[in-house]
Parts: sequence; C-alpha cells; structure tokens
Amino acid sequence: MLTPALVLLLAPLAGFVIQYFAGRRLPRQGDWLTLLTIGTSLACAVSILLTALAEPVGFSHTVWSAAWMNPGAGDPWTVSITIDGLTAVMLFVVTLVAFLVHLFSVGYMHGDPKYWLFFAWLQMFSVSMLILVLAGNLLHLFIGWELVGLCSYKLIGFWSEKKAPGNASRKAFITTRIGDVGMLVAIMAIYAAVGSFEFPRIFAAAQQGLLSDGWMLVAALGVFFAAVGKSAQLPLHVWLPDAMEGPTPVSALIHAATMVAAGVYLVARMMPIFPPEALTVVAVVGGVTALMAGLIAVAQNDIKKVLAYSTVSQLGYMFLGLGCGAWHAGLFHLTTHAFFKALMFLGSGSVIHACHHEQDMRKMGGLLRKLPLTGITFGIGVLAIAGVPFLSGFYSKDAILAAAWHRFPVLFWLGLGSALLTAFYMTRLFVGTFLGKPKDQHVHDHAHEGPPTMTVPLLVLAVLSVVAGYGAWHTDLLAPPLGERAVGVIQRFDTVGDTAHFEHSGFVAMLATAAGALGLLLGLVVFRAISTAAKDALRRPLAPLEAACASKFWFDELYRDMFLRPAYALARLFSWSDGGVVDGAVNGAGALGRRGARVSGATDRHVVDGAVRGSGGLAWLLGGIASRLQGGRVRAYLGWSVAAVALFLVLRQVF
Amino acid sequence: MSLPLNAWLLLAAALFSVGVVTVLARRNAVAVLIGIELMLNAANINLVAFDRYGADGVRGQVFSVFVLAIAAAEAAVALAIILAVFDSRDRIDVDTIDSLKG
Repeated sequence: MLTPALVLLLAPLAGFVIQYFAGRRLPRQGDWLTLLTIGTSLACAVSILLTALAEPVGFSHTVWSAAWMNPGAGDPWTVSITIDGLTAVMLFVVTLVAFLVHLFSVGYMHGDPKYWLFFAWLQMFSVSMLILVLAGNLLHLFIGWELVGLCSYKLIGFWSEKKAPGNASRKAFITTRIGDVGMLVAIMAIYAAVGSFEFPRIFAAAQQGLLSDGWMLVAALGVFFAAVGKSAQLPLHVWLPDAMEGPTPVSALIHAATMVAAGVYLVARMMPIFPPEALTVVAVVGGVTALMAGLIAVAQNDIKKVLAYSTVSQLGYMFLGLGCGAWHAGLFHLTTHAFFKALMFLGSGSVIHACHHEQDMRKMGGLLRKLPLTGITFGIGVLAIAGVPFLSGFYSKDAILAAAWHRFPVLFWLGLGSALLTAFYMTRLFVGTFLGKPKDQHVHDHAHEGPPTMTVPLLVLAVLSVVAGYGAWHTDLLAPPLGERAVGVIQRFDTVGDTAHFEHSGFVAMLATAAGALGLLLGLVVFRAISTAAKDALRRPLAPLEAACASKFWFDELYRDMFLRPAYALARLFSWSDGGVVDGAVNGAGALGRRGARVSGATDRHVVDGAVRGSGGLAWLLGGIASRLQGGRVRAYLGWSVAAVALFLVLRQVF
Repeated sequence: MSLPLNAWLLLAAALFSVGVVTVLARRNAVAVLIGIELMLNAANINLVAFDRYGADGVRGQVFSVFVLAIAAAEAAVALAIILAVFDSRDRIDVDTIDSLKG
C-alpha cells in the first residue's frame, strides 16, 4: 500500500508547488492541473480502500517510516505513514470531497482575480489533511494538524482585501490555536510518560498501565481540548460561524467535511488513552454543544450561518458518540455527515452563486423552480441530516443515540432534542430558500442554475448521502488502530461492554425517527402552512429564547468582555509602561551616559592632559635651569668642578 | 731627611691652588694655560714626594716624567688652538669663547 499512499500524498503537493509558483501563467490558470492531481489522489484512495476492505478487522500497517530526529532519551522521532481501516475511510472521504470541491470551484470561483491561488491553497489543504490522516505518530499528526489550520486561515481570509474575511480568518486561527495548547500539553505529557510518539507504543503503554491515571487524564483532556478547538465545540465554537466569510467551496471542504472533523478523528485515534472521566467530559461537551448549536441555528438568517451552526451541532453529535464509547458510531456519522453537509454547503454555494452573492434567506424563496437540480439535491441533504429512514443520516445518528441511551440517558434526551431541532431548522432553511413566493423579485429574476462543474458534484454527493448509510455493514473497518486490543481498553471502562451491540435498537430507532419526523413536520407547519399572524402569535411566548438564540447565547459578547477588553486594557497598560517606564529608563540611561561621558571628557582634558603637559613643562623648566649651567664658558665649568670637589671635601670632613 | 712629607704636600697644595685661581681668575687664554701648567707641576711634586717617602722604586718619578712629556704636548696643542682662535676672532679672552654650550 506504500505506492498509492505516496502518490496520494505527493500528487497534490506537486500540484500546490506548480500552482503556487506558475499557476497564473498556465492555460485556464491551472485548474485542470489541480483537478488531475486531486483526481490521482482520489484514485489512490479508492485503491487503498479496496485493499483495506480485504484485510482482517483491526489491521494496521506502518507502510513507511523514517527517522527524523534522535533526541537521545526515548524513541527517535519519526515521520511515518500508517494505514488502517479508519485511515482508509478518511482518505476516501477527504480526497472525494476535495475532488468534488475542486470541481465545484471551477464554476463558483470563475472570474475571480486570484482564481489560480485559490486552487493552490485548496491543494495545500488537501496535502495537509492527508498528512494528518496518514500520520503514524503524534508528532507527525501534529504537523498535519497545524498545516490544516494554516490553510484554513489562508482560505477563510482568501478575500482578505475585505475587512470581514480578514478578521474571521484571524479569529479562526487564534481560537483553534488556543485548543492547540492542549494538544501540545498532551504530546508532552505522553512523551514524558511513555518516551515515544508512536501510536502503538502509546496504546500498549496505556493498556499495560504504564501510563498513570493522572498522566492519562491530562493527556486525554489535552487531546480533547485540541479537538474542541478544531471541531468548534463549546466553548471554542465561536470561530466556525465567522469562518463562513470564506468562499463557499472552502466552507464545504474545510469547515464541514474534513478539517473540523479532524478533531473527531483525533479523539477517535487517541481513544485508548481516554479514561472514563475524560470520556464523560467528551460526551457532555458533545451533547450540550449539539443542543445549543441547534438552538442557535434556528434563529439564523444567513444560509451559511445556519449550515455552520448545524455543523457545530453535528460535530457535537459525533463527540457524544465517541464519549459514549461508540466510536464506530461517531466515525460513521463523521463519514455520512461529510457527504450530506458538503452537499448542502455546495448547494448553498450554488444558491449564492445564482443570487449574485446574496446569502440572506429572507430575500430568497421560490427558488426550486429556478434551480431544480440544486433544490432537489439540497432537499435530499435535508432529509439525510434529519434522519429520515433509509438515508445515510438515519443509520449514523441512530447508532449514536443508541450508545447514549445505554451510557448516559440524560445525554440521550439532549441528543434527541437536537435531532428534532436539526430537522426543524433544516426545514426552515429549505422552505425559506426554495419554497414559497419569491421575496425579492430582482434576486429571483436573475437566478440561474450553475454550469455542469457545479451541478455534477451536487449529484454525486446526493447519491452518496443516500447510500453511505449502507456502509453501516462495514463499520468494522472503522475500528480504530489496534482493533481488539483498543476495544479491550475501552471495555475496562465500559459497563455496557461490546460496542457493536449499540447499533441496532428498535426502540431508540423509533424515537429518533419520530423526533426527526416531528421536526420536519413542525418546520413545514410553522414556516409553510400557517399564516404570518399565527406565526407571530406563536413566537410571542418564545421571544426571550429567540433573542438568546439570535444573539448566539452572547458568546462573542462574553469573550469580548472577559478576554478582549482585559487584553486591550493590559495592552494599554503595557504601552503606557513601555512609554513611561521602559523608555524613561532607556532615555535616563542615555542621559546618564552622556553626563558620564562629559565628566570623563573633562577628566581627560584637565587631569590627564594636565599631567602630561605638566610633566613636559617640568622637564622644560628643569632643562632651562640645567642649561644655564652649560653656559659654554670653560672657566665656569671648571669653577663648578672646583666647587663640587670643595663641597665633597667639606662633606667628607663633616660626616 | 730634614723636611717632612707634609711640607712637600703643602707646597704642592699651595702651588695647585695658585694654578686653580689663575685658571679661574684670568681671562687671557695664555694665562689660563700657565695656570694649568702650575696645577700639573703641583701634581708632579706630589708624585715625586710620595715616591721619595714611600716604598722602594722610582715609579712615582717615572710618572712625573710622563706628566712632563704630556704637559709639553698639551702646551703645544693648546697654543696652536689659541693661535687658531686668535686668527679667527682677533682676541683670546676665554669668556668670549662660549660656543661650546649644548
């Protein structure tokens, strides 16, 4: 499996390099080249997936590994490519969605002044995501983890000449970086305790109890905190809705299908080191996020914002599944969600494209006749996410709810509530956009279906949204690395036991279906059937809740007051102290230096020069006196000699 | 042996003093030369006297003969210098010859 894995990784990398440096000068600005490279990757991913399906359950191959650094103590740091069932599925999902998004972008980004650059960064993002997925150790994974963050930043801020995308990209980058601190802490804790970054070594250590409970909890919570940042869970979810400022294909690829799911992937990957307390935290955060984001989504008017909160909510679902020990279910939902959410995002992109970048659904309506293909595929996505039986969302959501039912009944009801909400707000979105009368005739008149490059991806994803659920019979493939051994670790904490039993429970399936159906029905009734007056009457008692939802539960305001204001105040304090104290000290030191120099200069001039001149002058003086003795008159010399002799004689007599 | 050594030494000292005073007091170069001769001969008296009253042998007297010979040579040279000075300056007052200073 080495060759396909390497080709898979290197093709888009080459695509990025060529596109970044020469894309602008290529014919058609190089879009065909990036399609070719990502298509190659997709073909490789398919071949790997087919190989993986033939492997026994729980297989894991490190197909390539190279030493990178040798720190002395502990294992050498390596860069390694590991392929197991989970990787194979992720590779398929990532490359497929990436390919379709590339294709969609050909139509969507047509005419953009930075058309070539957009494809370059899409390629780089694909490479980063593949690095992350293929990583065989934590350090390698961390590199991919940071790279996807960087590409996300570049792509959210792709139209950075406008103010909002620039701000949104910075917000996304900084918020996820806060989570990454947890990742670093976890990596360091694990390396300190185990002495290795390699997954098999870490899991073996966890299983043999080499990792003490304290270290394990720190590492697990650190990993989860990183996932909270990347997957936009409470309380770090605030960046994802703002990230919708990026081009819509980016939202579909990065902020719906792949990068935000990387957090789920990471937690699933590191599952064997999660003690029960940490799993409880994962489940609670996931469940609460699912419900809260669902509530917020109901009150949004921007199509993409609704979808963004829906994504947050669905990611919460995945964490709920993982936290309940049902990682098959969580990862299964990741896969199906990638398809139907990418479908809906691309569908919204098609709508936005058709309406000349109008995103407010209060100005849309009645678009089904104008955009039949987009409308129908979008409708399939809505039914899939709502959990209508025999569509993909039904199977994956059911599996999660079944696990919650066994493990945390309270969270089960939360999950059920958010399932109802999901169906409700999705109906609202669909009805508001595609049904009813056009609210803005101008927008409506100009709406038109996009070129085939935009509609084909929608069709492919719609088909996948329907059939991906039948992958349920292959969820063994999603068994995380080490298969049986890792399951053993989980079972230590899991009173319910075998996770496979979660998946089919008639009662839960019935409840979930009923909730979804109720949501759809309620949505249709409220937004389609009843009159505006009746709707207003219905809204009045719910006004406070609506206000809370519309303002997103004041998270942004809370963070502004809690972190930004103090940070600005602190910055002002520092600026003042810099200007007053530090600059003062520096200036003072300078002045002191000048004064010292002046003193030293004066000393030099007067004392040292004085001494030098003085000694010269003294010599001059003495020389003058002595020279007077040397009058040149021989008699005087003789006189001095006689006087000297006489003096000696006298002295001799005296002493 | 009637006279003691001290008498000769006193004579020599007196003669030497006269020579010194002559050299210091007179301005005439020839007189200065005469003073020098006096001092040389005072030394000669001392040499001869010590020889006469001292150990056996005639070394002191031989010394005095050497001194006489050197005095003659010195007088010849000094007189030649004085003549040369007189030729160039028309006078032989030693106080006016002060070009020896550094």
